Amino acid sequence: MIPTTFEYTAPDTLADAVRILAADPANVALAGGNGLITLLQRRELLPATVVDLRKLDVLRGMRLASGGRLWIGAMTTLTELTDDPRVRAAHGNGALGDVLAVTGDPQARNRATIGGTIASAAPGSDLAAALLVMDATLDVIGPDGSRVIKSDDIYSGTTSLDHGELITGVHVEPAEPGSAYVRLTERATMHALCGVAVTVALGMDGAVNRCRIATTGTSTRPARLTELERAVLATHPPISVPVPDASRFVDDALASGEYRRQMTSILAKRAFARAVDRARNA
Amino acid sequence: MTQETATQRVFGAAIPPRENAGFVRGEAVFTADYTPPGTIHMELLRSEHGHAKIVSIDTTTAAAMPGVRAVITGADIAEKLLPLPCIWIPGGVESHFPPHPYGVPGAGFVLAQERVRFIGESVAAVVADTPYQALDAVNAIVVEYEPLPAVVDPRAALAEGAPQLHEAVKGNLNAYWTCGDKDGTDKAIEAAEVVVELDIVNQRTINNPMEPRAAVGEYDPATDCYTLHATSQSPHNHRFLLAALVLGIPFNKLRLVATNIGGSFGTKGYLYPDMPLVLYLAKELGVPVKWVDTRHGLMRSTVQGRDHTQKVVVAGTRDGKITALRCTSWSNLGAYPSTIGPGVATALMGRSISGPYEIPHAFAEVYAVFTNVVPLGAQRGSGRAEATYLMERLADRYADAIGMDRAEVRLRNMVPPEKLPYDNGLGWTYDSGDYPTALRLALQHAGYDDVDRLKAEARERGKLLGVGISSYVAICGVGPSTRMSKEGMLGGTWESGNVRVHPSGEIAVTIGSQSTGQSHETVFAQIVADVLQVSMDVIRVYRSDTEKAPYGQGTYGSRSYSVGGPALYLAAQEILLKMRTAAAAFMGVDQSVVEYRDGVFSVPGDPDKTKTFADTAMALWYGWNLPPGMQPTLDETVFFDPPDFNYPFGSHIAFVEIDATTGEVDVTKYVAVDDSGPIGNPLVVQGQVEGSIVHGLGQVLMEAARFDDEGHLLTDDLRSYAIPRATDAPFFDLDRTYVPSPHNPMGVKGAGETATVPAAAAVSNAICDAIGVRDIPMPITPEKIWRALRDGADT
Repeated sequence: MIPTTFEYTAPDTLADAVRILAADPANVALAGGNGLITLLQRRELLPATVVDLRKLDVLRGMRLASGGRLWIGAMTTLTELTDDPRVRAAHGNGALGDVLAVTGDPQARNRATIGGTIASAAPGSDLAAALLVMDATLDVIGPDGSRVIKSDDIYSGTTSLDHGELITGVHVEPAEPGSAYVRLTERATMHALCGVAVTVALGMDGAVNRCRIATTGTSTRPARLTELERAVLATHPPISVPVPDASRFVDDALASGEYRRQMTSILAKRAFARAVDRARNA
Repeated sequence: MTQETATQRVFGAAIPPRENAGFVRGEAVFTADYTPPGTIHMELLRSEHGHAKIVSIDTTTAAAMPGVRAVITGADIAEKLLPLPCIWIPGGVESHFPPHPYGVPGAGFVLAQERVRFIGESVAAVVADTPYQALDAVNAIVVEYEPLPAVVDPRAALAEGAPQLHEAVKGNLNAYWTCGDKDGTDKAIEAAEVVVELDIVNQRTINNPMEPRAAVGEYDPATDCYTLHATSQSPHNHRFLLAALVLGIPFNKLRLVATNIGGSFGTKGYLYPDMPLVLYLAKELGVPVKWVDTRHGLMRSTVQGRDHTQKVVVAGTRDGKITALRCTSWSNLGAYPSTIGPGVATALMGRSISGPYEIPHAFAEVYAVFTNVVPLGAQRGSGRAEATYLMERLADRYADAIGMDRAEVRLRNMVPPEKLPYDNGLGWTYDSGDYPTALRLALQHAGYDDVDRLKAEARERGKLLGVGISSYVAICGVGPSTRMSKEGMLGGTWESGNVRVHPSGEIAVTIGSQSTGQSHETVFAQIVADVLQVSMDVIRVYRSDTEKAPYGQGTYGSRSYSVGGPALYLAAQEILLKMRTAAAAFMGVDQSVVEYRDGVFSVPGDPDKTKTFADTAMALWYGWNLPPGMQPTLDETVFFDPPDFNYPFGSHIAFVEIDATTGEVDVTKYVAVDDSGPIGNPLVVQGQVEGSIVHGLGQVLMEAARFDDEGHLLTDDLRSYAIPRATDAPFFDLDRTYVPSPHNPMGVKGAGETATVPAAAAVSNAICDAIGVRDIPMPITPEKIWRALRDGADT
């Protein structure tokens, strides 16, 4: 790796990290490095200062609030998430558990942090689809103080973070009784060529009472498919999912928009089958 | 089947490669690890255009940057470094090349002169104290280009009005090369009861060895000698070519050292601009100069593989006899001929098209064409893999056309064992083998008779199961030198082995070939340990340094073990013969009564008369009382030039399961029955076979180099170019037969690339079988399968 010259610092406090990061638009944060190092390697990113977050223990760990809401520190690695008994119990058998099982490989998961994964907003990020259906929110801190980013706003652009902002943690709501994530794998990046996460809650009558559907890898950004959610509401399992409107699906070298559109319907159906199964066994 | 091996023989033993621990622990030294004191670093500026005129290059800013020692462009070295040569040209036909002042075929300049012809072509070099400074300065060089129209497709390049790449190459045609019986083939096709045609694109793939290339140049003013450390799989040959044809210096003044090499797949048998550049700059600047490539650099400048566009035809009778085969192929050589690219693209492909089948009339023609893409070279199984793909796809199509079982068609057309040696009519004479037996064994492993039940069972699970057979013969053991000269090789292709027994009884084995990760340190020691009946522990294997190793031609064309192995075997036998003669003399007996076993010479019935291997070695070291005429010490070198090639063969059967709703394909089981003759180390060969198969799976399922119309490479790193991962490996069911080759005293044959040869076709045939379509172009992605299923049975 032959990156350009840059300053490197590993601040001891969150306040210092935010201050240094905000000082220059060319400063970047380093979490696990899976994304950043690749960009430095190809000189696709020319940072002034790389701000390493590794000393910020305040960004680590997990807390379970009453009511089952889980706070995950931004520097928590995907391996730590996978191994955590609280995550296993509450989410292992759901969309988040499915995501952790397929994302990257063990070496990548050992490095990848939840905050870094969200901030880098890689196309086809598995985690993105899960966060959208799980109604996750982000705690963010920046030069102007802290704020909360709501689930639907996380992927409003390539990233919803303003310059100088850091994700400090992720709030994950208690899981719906049934949720799942399924994907078609893109062979080079091992991200999703087309990924679909769903959550479902069934009513007393066995019909869909609440549901969410989100896709990743299919368009310019991960997104909820609310029109499909409406179509699925009140239907009875086995849940069939209509083929979504073509407009949001993109053609690229990896696959056509048409394929992704058709697959979204098929994968959503599969995800629902798994989610319903989980809901019934919950 | 089992290999007949005497008990306790070292040859044939599954000994774990002893060099692997060092690789795994990161202790093994590679070229990039070599940094002599005072080393400075070179980086290359590469073309951003597929085809452009260089209007001007401004190096002023770059030259003034911190740490920069030199910035050079094509103009600076035009009179000092000659163009690279091409040494394997299409044999027996008129061919055209870029010029070289010595009259040999040229292969492009070390740094571009006035024009760039492919993305990645070297335009300028910067040397600086650190690689960081060097790359910073490279980025500060300002090149004004005037883009020229580019052509990336070989057929388009032959069309009238196409952009022209080289003045000396009219119409971009390097050569029109043929083999076989054109008239007979045309007539047989015309007269045939059944004719099946296919258009095939055997797509361009990018070689991705784990280690990108590297070079370190040193110059010693006291002796006026150069030393090059480089990732070279042909050190002696590269030394010769660099000294004589690029640097223009006496052969004696260049030493080439290749340390460990982290994989090659064929890419490191070529001359590249960085090799002469680091040497030239080391002399100019008086310090060692080092260059290490990146993955991105590798993907746009290291030779790429395959890339044949083909129209192929097979003809036959309604009752299953193939009567004719014709292949017209456009081979995309890229912008320049690589060191051996044109020979690979013609002979290795064309002469191999009929595979294991007895086909009365066959004809291949190849248009070898220059276009504005990265130069073409070898990739594991090169030429033979492309040939096998077309033949095996056609065999399935023909079987379908006449309604015959695909295995049955193959068995009916295979050359029967009694007809070997067999002249295939295209230029190869297959040495030995039993092709039907290997196929029957593979069918047995596959449970072929039970396939219909498996398909029905899979359908119940919502899966489409397909089975694909692919049989092959792969020419290996390059090769007989005189014969290779007729194939257009401008050089010899013999190999060497040296055995030196130290006075302690320990042994140094030195080979002329070069490991790129094939466990040479283990398998070559096994040969010597077996002949001399000594422990592997006393043997060390040396290689890779032109100052120390006997001349050899390097590693390619599955030749190290099947050409270099016999050389070493013969050298070890000469050692043993000399020791036996000496031991007999020392014991005062006739050597006919001397027995040798497990390191001891003895005389049966006379227990007082024994002489150990080490004692004998020591006595020869002292040289006292040697038999008349015997020279002291034990040091034997044998150069082996085989009488002909060797021809490994086999049959593979792939099982795939396809998800009909998504098109996802899973290779669930892969049966491979290969014959590489007697096997020196089954563990090493198993690794080669499994790796080779996965390599073939990569091409058929995911790999493709994509260029846009201007020659920009769209797949220039591993984020955009998929290669198989460990998790893509199928369940392997491996077996083999053991027919020896008559062309070397060990009977051994190539094994490092043979299993790649049939693999893509096996999987392609299985996918087409599963979904009932005629053909799907590689790489066969889930979307292509999904479309084929959606659009009906015959796309």
